[in-house]
Amino acid sequence: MADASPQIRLPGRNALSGRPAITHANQDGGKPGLVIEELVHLGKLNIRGAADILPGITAQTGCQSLPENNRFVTIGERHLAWLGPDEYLLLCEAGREDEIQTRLRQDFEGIHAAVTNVTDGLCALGIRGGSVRKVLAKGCALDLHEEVFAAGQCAQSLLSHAGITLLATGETRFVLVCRTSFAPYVVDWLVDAALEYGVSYRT
Amino acid sequence: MGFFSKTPAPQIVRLATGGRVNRTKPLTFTFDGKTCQGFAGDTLASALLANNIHLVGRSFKYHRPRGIMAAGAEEPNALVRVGRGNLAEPNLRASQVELYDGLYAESQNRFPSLKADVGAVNSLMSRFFPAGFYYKTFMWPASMWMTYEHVIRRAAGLGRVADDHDDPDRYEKTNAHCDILIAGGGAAGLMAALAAARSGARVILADEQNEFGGWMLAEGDVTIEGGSPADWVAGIIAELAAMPDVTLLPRTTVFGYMDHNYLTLTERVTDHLAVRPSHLPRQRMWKVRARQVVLAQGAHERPLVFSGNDLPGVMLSGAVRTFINRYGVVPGNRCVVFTNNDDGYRTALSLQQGGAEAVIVDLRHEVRSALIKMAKEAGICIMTGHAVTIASGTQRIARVEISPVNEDATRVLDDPVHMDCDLLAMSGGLSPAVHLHSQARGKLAWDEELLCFKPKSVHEACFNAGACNGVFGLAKAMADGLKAGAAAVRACGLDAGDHLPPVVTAPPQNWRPMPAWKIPNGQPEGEGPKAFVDFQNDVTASDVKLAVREGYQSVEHVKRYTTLGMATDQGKTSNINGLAILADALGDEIPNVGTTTFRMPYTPANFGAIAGRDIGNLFDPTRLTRMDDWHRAHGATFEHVGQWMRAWYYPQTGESMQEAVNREVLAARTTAGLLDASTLGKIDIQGPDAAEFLNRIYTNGWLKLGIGKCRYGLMLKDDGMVMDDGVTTRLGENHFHMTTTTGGAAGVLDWLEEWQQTEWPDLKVYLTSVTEEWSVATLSGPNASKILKAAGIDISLDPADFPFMSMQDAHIAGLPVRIFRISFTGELSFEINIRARHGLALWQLLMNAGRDHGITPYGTEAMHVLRAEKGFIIVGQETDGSVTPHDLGMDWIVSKTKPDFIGKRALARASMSDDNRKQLVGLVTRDRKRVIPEGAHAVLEPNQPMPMEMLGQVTSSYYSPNVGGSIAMAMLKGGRSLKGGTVYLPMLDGDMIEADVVDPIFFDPNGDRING
Amino acid sequence: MLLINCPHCGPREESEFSCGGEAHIARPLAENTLTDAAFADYLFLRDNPKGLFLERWRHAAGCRRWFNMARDTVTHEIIEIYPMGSLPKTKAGKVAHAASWRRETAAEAAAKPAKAKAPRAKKENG
Repeated sequence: MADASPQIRLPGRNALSGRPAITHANQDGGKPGLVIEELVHLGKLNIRGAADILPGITAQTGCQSLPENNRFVTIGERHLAWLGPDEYLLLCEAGREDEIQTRLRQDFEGIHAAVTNVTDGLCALGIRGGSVRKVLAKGCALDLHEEVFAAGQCAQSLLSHAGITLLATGETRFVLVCRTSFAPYVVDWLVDAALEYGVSYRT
Repeated sequence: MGFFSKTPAPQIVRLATGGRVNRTKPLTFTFDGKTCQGFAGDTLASALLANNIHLVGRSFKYHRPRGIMAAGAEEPNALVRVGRGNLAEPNLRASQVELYDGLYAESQNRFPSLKADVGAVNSLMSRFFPAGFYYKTFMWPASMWMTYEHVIRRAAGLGRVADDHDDPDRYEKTNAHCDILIAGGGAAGLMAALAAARSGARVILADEQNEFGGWMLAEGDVTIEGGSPADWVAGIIAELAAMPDVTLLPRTTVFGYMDHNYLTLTERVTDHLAVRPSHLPRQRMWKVRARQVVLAQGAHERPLVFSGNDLPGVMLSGAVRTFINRYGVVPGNRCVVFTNNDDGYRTALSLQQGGAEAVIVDLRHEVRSALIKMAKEAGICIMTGHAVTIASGTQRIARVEISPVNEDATRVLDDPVHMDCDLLAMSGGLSPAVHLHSQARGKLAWDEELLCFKPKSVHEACFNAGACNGVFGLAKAMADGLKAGAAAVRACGLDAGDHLPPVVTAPPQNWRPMPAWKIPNGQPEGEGPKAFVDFQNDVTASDVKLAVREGYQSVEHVKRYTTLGMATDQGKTSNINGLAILADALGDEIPNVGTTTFRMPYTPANFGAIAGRDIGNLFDPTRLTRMDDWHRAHGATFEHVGQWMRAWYYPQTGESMQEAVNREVLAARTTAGLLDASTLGKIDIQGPDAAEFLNRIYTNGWLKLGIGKCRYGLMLKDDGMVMDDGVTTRLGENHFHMTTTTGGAAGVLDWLEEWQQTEWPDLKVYLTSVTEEWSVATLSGPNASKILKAAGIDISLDPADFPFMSMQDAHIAGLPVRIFRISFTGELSFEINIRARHGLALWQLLMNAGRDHGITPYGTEAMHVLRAEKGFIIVGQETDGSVTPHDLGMDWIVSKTKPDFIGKRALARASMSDDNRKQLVGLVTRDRKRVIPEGAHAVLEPNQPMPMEMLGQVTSSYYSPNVGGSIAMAMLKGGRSLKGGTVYLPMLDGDMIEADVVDPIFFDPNGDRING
Repeated sequence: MLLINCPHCGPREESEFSCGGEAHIARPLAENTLTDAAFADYLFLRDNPKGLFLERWRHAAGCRRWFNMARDTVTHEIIEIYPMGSLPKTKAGKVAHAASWRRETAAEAAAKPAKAKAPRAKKENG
């Protein structure tokens, strides 16, 4: 165990620290149908507010408009996802969340809005692969057809017994956000569900 | 033919050519110890018949010998147990088990063997087993029912489940969405699928068989587009398979149809494989949400109800044709075809083409049909106006009696002729398979001509097509399927296009059967061999009539009294015959009698598939804190708190739980204790009305709380009962940080959201869960400040600078932390919150810094003892949803001046101030070493007779090393008035614990220790 | 299993929702004196009709927002989904709302600020 020294600095431990990589081969010989990676320390801010938060959002994230229902907008490495009326989730570069939170709060001065840092409370996984939609469908009742849940679409739903926020970043790519304490379960579940397609969980 | 023969018997009745079996792929299988051979493409039923095995089971109630009656899902008799050990599965219909190499099957309901079953004595005793027998005989005395039932279930029952409780097979579930789901891939289903798929719709086509095509594969006398049906089907399937939005699911049964077009399917993924790949599920349950549904499940042929109709070798007419034309098996040499419609003629022709002799016994007196002409030209003997009155044989049909009957087949007109035979094919007309339609609350109408119930109107967004819609015959069914498919397409808002059905040639068949429900046998009612209506449940025509004589009139009552149409079979072959006989007995018309409700599943669904992967560690998520690794590495014992695993106590080598907890509890009051409190619920509350919102949520006042200050709050439901508690801190003018109990976290956030959204939408406040954003280490005890200093805290911890019930942001060893000076132990205590990623580092830092100051990690058990010593309640332990603040002696926290808060009005109800309500008190046992079991009930007078008058129950009870004796909290009626008195706690073993009633605070009553 | 058209997220499976029971139960303000019996109408009594029922639902696993639903408890048909704080707009929904015995209760009348006290009730917080 570490000493009580003042040397401890970022990054700290991520949601799935200490979890070994797992691979199940694709029995058909091809690439694994699912690849899972934690997006370590991806910044996450829960943002609440009505349309009057847009100037602040634009100034701090570059988003020119708030995402419509069930959609997210992408600016560079950042995604701003609609979660509900007056509620958004900003995913940003690791380590930038404090700074963005501070600035947004300044910009929101005088209007009814809230910014809450949920970077550590939530875990983001990058999941991709030719079978990613089939794997998700085993535990998620959303219509995941690539033309229905197309890139740019997001939703909060359930994956088996875990609440998730799902962002389709491509035809075969998603960002899956869940509560940090559910992340081991979600990874276990995904690895198990992808058995027939081959799966690789990478650390 | 001895048991365990190693040489497969020859397939003695297999045709040399024809059918869908692959004669170059012989497969070996075992049935009741006998090694047999079949071919790829066989079902277990067709392979057994190929080996001339007809006797395959014993019946449910009478243990009568039973054979294979059908070729599909409607098989009521041939239920077998397939597989060995814990892979075994009972009650599978042999007609639906695909053959694979090495298949191992056993017959059921027989002892010691199928041919010499001792239970068959039930059959001889059958006069004593009439309808409702169990109800009549075993219901008295009621207390004995459990004993009777146990014996009956063993004697009767269907098959035996697997030998072991662990099912090693893998099962999965999946969700699916589509525009159009088509249940059934026969003539109508395929045409519907084609119409749907060509429109660009997302289509799921499911069929329970291994190949699509349904009855088309069973007919040798039809052509489609000039070729064989199988060739045409192959072409259609190839077209469908090439479309990306079409999902073809063979071996998949649509077994349930629920609200809003939600259907459940079981796909048998590897059941048919000799070697099942471990990465694939054995079965997969599909949960499909469809915009439109086309039901094309076909129809079931009805048996004729005549004496001896359950003998092995008595089969449905269409099934015989299926075995001949699809599987190349002619199941008899001398065959009687007994029919009330044209279908028997096609079967007779097929039999003759297969090399067997056939005689047609037709109940109808006058028959005009091209098929009759064809049969006559083929030289088949036809006896019109005749009936098979009695079939006999021991373990297979051996002979029949055939008599002339009157025009409506209710009376025998003359003595019978006897005829030897080894097969009887019967046809009583078709019953549309309306099971799914009925599950989905579709209405039925009686068709006077076809003598069947067929769909009248639908409740869900669905269309019926083909035989299940009462549209019989290949060409008509195809046209109907196309029509239904196109209608479904249009209902989805798509262009249905203009498709034509294929050109079909088929024998001209009149589909109207003659009504003849109970075939007379020339003897008085109830005499002579049994005539079965429901083969699976062993219900005879006499049973139905008996039920009516005993006063049952409603079809639903008769169903339950006789068991007709119940259980796994769901009346597939028996429903209409039973209804007709019931109607006749009641002197009413069939449509007036109505029909029973078909329940799901259509055919039995495996529990494994319903459970899917919700087993083992995937059954329920287990949530761990960020400090969990340390607890594990240091030998902690854990307890479940909701989904969380919390460190319970940390036993050192050789320590008992009590010893470990004592050590932890003492350390927290003499040196320092460290608790992982990360699981506490935390809610970030922001907005200009945040204080007002809290003011309405909590019982006490919140408007004047200073920034940086903490306050304890109690939340009530609107009925005035305590629901949660916790400390909330004002971080800014419009910003609060609320904590909740671990178990209450999600519920409290939901509760706050509900009030904000539904009752006070005008209040400007936003709520966000931050439970997992923060890891929390609670450092408690006289040395707490010293340890924080050693750890490198950068703020003054002097109570003057950092008073009790306040919050400060600080750094420990450079790490930003938020520290709340609050206490659940009564000691000087700091709840140190840190970004969760640093939770483990914080814990390690504190443990290292505290090494020289006696720091001791403590778990939830010590936490409970410490708070009980101080008399602090735990919501959910002292409270149970029926406890008010007043009951807890916490009036001090209930504002008298606020105009409203949740629960205020309810607390003012007259009954709330009843002095006899249960109130919180402390108990100390006379025997100070004796710890009262939690949940024990207290009485005032120990010598009263039972049942004793209970005062209430002990809610918390521990040994307190700081007090030096046992302490307990209890909720007792009029508890506060009992203080100074004594109560008694009777134990199960007759012992009686004596305890004094005291204030529920046992240690440091003046709170002197809070500043260290 | 119902398919519920969340007003914000669109059609989702019933498993994502939680049902909050009868809708349009006005909460009496504590400032209004109400007998215990009249208060019990609000606190304890709930309808459970066969047929059309106006009820509250929450998209628990989605946007977490509450809404109202007019649902037939026999056919499970969802007639109407409408926002919190508003009344049904369909004819059947309006009839069901008006027909409720609750409309006539003292508890419902007491959900509005007492006229005499209205001006001072607002600021007197403790």
